[in-house]
Formats: sequence, C-alpha cells, structure tokens
Amino acid sequence: MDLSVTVPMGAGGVTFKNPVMSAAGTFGNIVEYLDVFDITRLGAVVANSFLPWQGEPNRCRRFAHTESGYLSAFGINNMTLDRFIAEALPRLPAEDVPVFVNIKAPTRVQLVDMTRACVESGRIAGVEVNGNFPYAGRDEPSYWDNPQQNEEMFRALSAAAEGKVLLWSKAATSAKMIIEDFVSASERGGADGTVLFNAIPGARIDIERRAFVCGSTGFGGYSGSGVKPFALWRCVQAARVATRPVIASGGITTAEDVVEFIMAGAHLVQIGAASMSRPDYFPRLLDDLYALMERLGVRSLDEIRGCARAEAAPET
Amino acid sequence: MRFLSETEVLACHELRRAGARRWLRLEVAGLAAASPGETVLFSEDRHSPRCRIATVDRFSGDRAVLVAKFEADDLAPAAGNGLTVWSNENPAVSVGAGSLIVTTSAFLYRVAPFALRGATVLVEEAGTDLWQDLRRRVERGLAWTSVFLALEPVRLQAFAAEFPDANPYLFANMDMSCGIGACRSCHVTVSDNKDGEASCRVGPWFALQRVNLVRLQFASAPFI
Ligand SMILES: Cc1cc2nc3c(=O)[nH]c(=O)nc-3n(C[C@H](O)[C@H](O)[C@H](O)COP(=O)(O)O)c2cc1C
Ligand code: FES
Repeated sequence: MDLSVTVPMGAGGVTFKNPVMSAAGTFGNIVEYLDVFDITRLGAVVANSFLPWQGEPNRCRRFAHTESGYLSAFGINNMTLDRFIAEALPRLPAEDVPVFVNIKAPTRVQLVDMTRACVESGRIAGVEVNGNFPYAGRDEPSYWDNPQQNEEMFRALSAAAEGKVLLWSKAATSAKMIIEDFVSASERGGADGTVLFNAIPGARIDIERRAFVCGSTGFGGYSGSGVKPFALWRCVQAARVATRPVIASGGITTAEDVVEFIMAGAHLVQIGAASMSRPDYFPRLLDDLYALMERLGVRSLDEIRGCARAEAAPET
Repeated sequence: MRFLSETEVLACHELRRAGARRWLRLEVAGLAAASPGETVLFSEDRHSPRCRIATVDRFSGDRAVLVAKFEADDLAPAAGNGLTVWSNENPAVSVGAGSLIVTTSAFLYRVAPFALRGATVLVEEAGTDLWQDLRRRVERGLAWTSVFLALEPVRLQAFAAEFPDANPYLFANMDMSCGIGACRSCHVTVSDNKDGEASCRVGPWFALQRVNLVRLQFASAPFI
C-alpha cells in the first residue's frame, strides 16, 4: 500500500511519504520532539509560528480544555525565524522529513524577507503564511479580507519563493472573505496550496470565579475534535474550487478522521490539538491509518481523494 | 522523555477540590520504576483528551500512587482503565537531602513525597507565623543547602525579605498540555533566557531571582 502524496512545486513536485503532518503551534520548534518519537515517520513537520521579532507569551491563562477541544491564547510567543534557522534547523533530519515553517508579520515586506530567508536556508521545504495574524491590517491593508490584496501578496511571496520552497496560504478564521474567494485569490497569486482551517474563536467561563478562563480578552482559539465538522465542511468548499492541493486542519483525531478529510478532497492533513494528547500520538495514528487503509482495501490515496458524494432520495 | 510502562488504574480518589479544579489520587499497578516526588507524564488509553503531569507520591513493588491536577469537569480515570506513563524527569535542580521545602497545606500533596528523598518539609501550621517558626528552627540548628518554596507569590516575596541571602527556588505548578515543551502552556518567563522555560521539561522548581513573578502570576495557574 502506498500512502505517499506528491504535490506540484514549480516544474517538479514534492513527495510526502504519507499525508499526516503536525500543525503549527502544537509541535514546538520540532526539536522538542526529537527524543520523543521518530519524526521521520510523518509526512511532514510544521514548526511554530515565527515573527520577524522575538515574541512573548500572553500574560494570562494560556489554555483551557473543553469537553471536546482546547482553547488556547498563547500570544506571539516564539523565537525569531532567523534564530530557528541558525539554532534549530541544523538539528532536524530535514533530508528525511520535509520541514515547514509558519510565518506571520504585519507587513508584506517582512513576509517576503522571511520567505527569502527560508529559501536561503536550503533546508526548509515549505512556508505556510499564517492569515490568523491579529495585527494584519495595522501597517498595511489586511491581506486576508480582500481577494485582490491577498493575490498581490502571494504574487510577491511567490517571487521570493522562486519555486524552491512550497508556499501555502493558511486561512484566517477572522477573514471576512468567502472561503472560495480566498483559495482562488491565493492560488492566482502563486500559492502552491491552501491550509484550512485554523483555530476558531471560542470562550469558556469559570462559574465559581465568574471569570473567563482563557485569554487576556476572555477568548482564545478553539481547536480539537469539536471543530472537525466545521473544518470538514470548509475542506469540501475549498476543494471544490482549488486547482492546487488543499491541506486540511481542524479537529482531526483518528485515522478515520484522516480518511474523511481525504475523501472530502484534502491532499494532506495537519493535526494539532489531538497530537498533544500523548507523546506517542503520531506513531499510533500512523499504525492505525495503515491498518485502516488495509481494511478498506485502499491501495493509494488517489483512489479516494474527493470521492465523498451526497446521497439523497430521488424526488417522487 | 522516557517511556516507563503501561499501567492499570486500581483506584481513583478525589483529594481536594477548589473552584474549577480538583486533585486526584490514582493508584496504579504495573509501573516499572519511579521515585517519590518524580514528575511523570501519563495518558489514558481509553479516554484521552490530553496528557497530564503527575507527581509520584509513593512507589513500591510495581504499585504506585500518582497525584494529578484535573479540571473539575474532567472525567476521572476509572478502575481498570489503562494508563501509559512516561518519565519526564529532567529537572534543572534536584531536591533531596539537604533541601528544605517550605509550603502550606494546599501544596503539601505535591511536595510531601520529596521527604522520602531526604528533604525536610516545613508546613505552615494553622494560626502560626511561618517565618517566626522558621527563624526559631534556624536558631535551633536547622540548616539547608538549598531552599524550595511552594507558596503563593506574596509569601515568596516575604521569604525573600526575611532571608535575603537564601536564593530560594519557587514551585511553578503550571497547567500543562503537551508535557513535552512544545505547546508553551507551561512556559515560565525568566530573566536569562528570552525563550522562557517549559515547566514540564525543566521544572517545577525555578530560581526565584530568575523568574518574572508578575508574569508568572497571570500565567496558567502556577500557584494552585
Ligand atoms: C496550542 C495551539 C497553538 C497554535 N498556534 C498556531 C500558530 O502559531 N500558527 C498557526 O497558524 N496555527 C496555530 N494553531 C492552529 C493549529 O495549527 C490548527 O490549525 C488548529 O488548531 C486546528 O487543528 P486541530 O484541531 O488539529 O488543532 C495553534 C493551535 C493550538 C491548539
Ligand atoms: S505542557 Fe506544553 S510546553 Fe509544557
């Protein structure tokens, strides 16, 4: 059975040994996992979000669990991309597993510089541009709310990527743009794929203390199994218009979930909240996925990608 | 991070409940090796919304008692459920003979096991003055090589004022999520490392003088 996925890049393509990836913000700077499990079993790995400057964690309770998910409000809290490239990247087995970084910045110029730095590193396979950036629009008009600006931004980023790294557009939950327009605009600008969705806004209240439990403003990003139906719907919408790969994210927990998203049209899947449920989560999921494909008699993901159909009784 | 064992829950009791939290005492069978006071990471095999950090309270034969902080509405692990346990022991400082731990009854569950490693544990008695008590003991010969404070922030500052040369460590009992140092739930802002440090990896003890207490106070439940 072959679970590999090849996605186009420039004149060629990049092959992932399977469709399972980590998700930004939930896999640290990847190095944290080197002594936890063999990360080269994954299709690809994604590091935390990077800013052009050193971030700081939010001054509040930064996460809370809900019955079927996870609220997080970590803030802009990672090291800079330059430091990641200098200190962490050399320690990663980038020859054996594609390494992606997630970048965010308030200006297009900064995003372009960061993309160039990734190309120059020679060891980064792809760049995911995070549309969930809260400060987008402060210095320049928001790229995520207007298809034309989105397209122009990806045109600039795509020129910086020079076809040497994959360039993905990660959907913003706050975007006012309709999702089909978002996917098409990013693709027209030169994005090699679209990642959707991100965490969606959510809140929880401690009724004893009469206070919100997470986030300095009382809410955070909601991730985990509770968002799966929403993310699956978004995946179907995106896959209907996409001409490049859709990378699904949101609530994926089990091997069955992975198959659902592939059947909804995704090429690859990213798993965040669920992967934090246990240190051996990913190896177990991969074992389950191979066993499930065997049981379903599926020999390659191309057989099932986008195969789900709506069923309704004919009119009588 | 070291895989320890697949264990089975024998019993689970609630130790304490406060606001939206509760503390559970889990008796497990099948734990290969652990020492009292050690921090371990565990995940439930059946109902596993997240991994959790626990303190090894007791260990003998293959039986162990773990104490862990849960959300009040989290499902408690039921007898018969499987728990996978990893060792997370990689602390920057070790607590043992020669260590003095100063605490209140609220934190005792978490630090009492260190007494089995040779540490002296001083617990505030109701209605007594903790510092007076400590001073009296010092006069009577109590000495320490290092001092560890499992106390609320105002007491941490009071200790620093009373014993300015003691260079104590504070106990950051952060809420945790991944247990691996990746998600930054449990990061502590320190003066000499701009990335901050993950309590799940190098904690729970941090040198008081390195820690930004204001930030810590508003972080993920460090003092409960
Ligand atoms: C703790 C945490 C931190 C996250 N940080 C980021 C981030 O820095 N950048 C980003 O694009 N997405 C971030 N996300 C969103 C995830 O990458 C993912 O898109 C989202 O959580 C939905 O997937 P999940 O339900 O599998 O977690 C974060 C999610 C969580 C739970
Ligand atoms: S619990 Fe995730 S970094 Fe410590």
